[in-house]
Amino acid sequence: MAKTFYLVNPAAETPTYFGAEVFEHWGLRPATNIADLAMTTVAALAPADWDISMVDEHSAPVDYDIECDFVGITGKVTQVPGMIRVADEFRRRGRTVIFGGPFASLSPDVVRSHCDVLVIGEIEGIAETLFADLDSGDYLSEYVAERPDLSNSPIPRWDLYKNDRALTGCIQTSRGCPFECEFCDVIVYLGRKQRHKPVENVIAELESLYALGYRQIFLADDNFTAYRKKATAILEALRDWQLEHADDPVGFSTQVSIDVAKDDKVMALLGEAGVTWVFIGIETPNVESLKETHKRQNLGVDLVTQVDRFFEHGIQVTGGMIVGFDNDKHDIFRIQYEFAQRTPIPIFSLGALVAPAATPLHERISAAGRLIEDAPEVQGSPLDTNIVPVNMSGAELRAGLDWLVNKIYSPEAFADRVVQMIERLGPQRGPFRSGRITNRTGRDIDSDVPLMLKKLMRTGKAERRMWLRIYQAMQARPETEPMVMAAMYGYGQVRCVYDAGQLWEPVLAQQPPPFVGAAEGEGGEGQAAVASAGA
Amino acid sequence: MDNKQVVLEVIAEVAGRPLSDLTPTTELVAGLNLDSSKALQLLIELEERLDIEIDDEQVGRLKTVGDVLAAVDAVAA
Ligand code: SF4
Repeated sequence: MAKTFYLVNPAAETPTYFGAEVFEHWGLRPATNIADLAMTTVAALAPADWDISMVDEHSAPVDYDIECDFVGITGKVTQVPGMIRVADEFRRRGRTVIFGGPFASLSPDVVRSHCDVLVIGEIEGIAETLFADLDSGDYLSEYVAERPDLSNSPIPRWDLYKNDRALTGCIQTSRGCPFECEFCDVIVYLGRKQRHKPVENVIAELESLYALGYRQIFLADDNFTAYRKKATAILEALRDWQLEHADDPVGFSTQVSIDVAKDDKVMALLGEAGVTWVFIGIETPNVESLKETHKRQNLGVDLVTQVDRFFEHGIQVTGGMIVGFDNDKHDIFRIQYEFAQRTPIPIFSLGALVAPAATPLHERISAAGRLIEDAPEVQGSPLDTNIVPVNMSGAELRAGLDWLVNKIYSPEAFADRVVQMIERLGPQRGPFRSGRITNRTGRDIDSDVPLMLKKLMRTGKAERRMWLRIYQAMQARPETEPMVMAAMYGYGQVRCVYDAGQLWEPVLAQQPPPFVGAAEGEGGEGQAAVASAGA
Repeated sequence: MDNKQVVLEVIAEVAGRPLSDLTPTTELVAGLNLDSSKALQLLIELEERLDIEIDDEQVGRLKTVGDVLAAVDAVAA
């Protein structure tokens, strides 16, 4: 008899920079930012006669009473407590629980005791055997998948997903990244040899999301432009597709490494294809820290100039920013702040360096006896770490970060960066033309964005002044409106992250940088400065 | 100035149109080109000038100038 299968993407325990918890935070219906590709992909791999349903706990509650043969649970490190909570409850009710996804693959020992079947690795590599075994009822407690070729990837089952509460659709055109950043668990999970989906598959997935009303789509590659030839082929196909949908185009977003800024052809193509937003792991302007972490693609270039190249092409950048490398000293907080303000980057995903399980960094820190056992990796606040720093105490690192997040996201500093963005954004070469209103599908979630921001603006005079400055600057360049609203949405979510983590202390932004004048390696004076700032 | 006059002036100001362009059936998006940022600015201005808070449920239903007048009436009453 055909099986029933319930897939769950548990909520992250605390809001994350790229989430959408801000909607619920302000009393609106819960939502997710990027639609979940893991569950929809697993559903597409299951036997055609299986009865499949799914829930993304970010936008709807889990139905523990559902009748099903199997419960499939996926998740990243931020979702681990949720994965365990949901699994334990289903098992208490006698259900058979299957774990898979990035965290289960990288830290199987942490989750093994909470599931009946553990899938390690990418599911495509073992799907046929796994589902045949599950179908027969004679299955193993653990499956280890080979890295699959992506050429036969099925179109994800978006028809089963709650699309009306997801801001952004999702397509993965490749997996893996050739770089070797020391802290990166992506390359441990997916490898350094990038594997690609055929262009036709990418377009077929795009069509299916477009039909469901998505007009913002995230290309969920680890490093979209790592192989320029493949990226070029996909971007050309996207550009041509946009020409056929010129009256209602799609805005794409993705992740790239900064080295692509030097490639004029690919940069121009990104704009022409309608890529309007990219995430770049900038991490730090501290060259010694970049060397330490093997972020070679960020070395030997002026990071601010390279970032500018994206804005010149009409592409907004969000930057990864990390503090807590071995080479970071007490002045790193000031240096990072000054760096941020020299860029037009509205949003930085700012946090402490952490050593995820299975990474070379984890191994090195552990060998040095500097791993804080049982510390959260990144489940809690983005300022938590599992590393004992070298040049400052853990308390100093935390105090410096507390100052930095409040300084970088003070309404004044944020407005400065957004106004810079408005002034520096180059003309759109792609499908988005000056002053056009895009996204004609009128989805509820899209009209919730101004509503959420309205509530944020009511929180204080500084926020209201921030918006007025941005709004007025935008009147001179109305074509930048979608970019500005994307940045504003990002700001709302950042504030939600900090509210939830009790990190929002605007008074800190009025203080000078911490540890000014502290002798390196001492920090006593700096600690005092921060302690008094927080009082 | 009564609420209706304030609402019409704020809409005209945010949309960058003369008051004479506005009728109750004028559509906010199709007719006045109100994008998300202008919608946000409109809501903030209305709430500040009239010292009201427009209900979330109502905001989703605002399609025309008449809808905005009715929503303000409902909370200011
Ligand atoms: S560039 Fe990004 S995906 Fe690639 S190794 Fe570095 S952190 Fe990982």
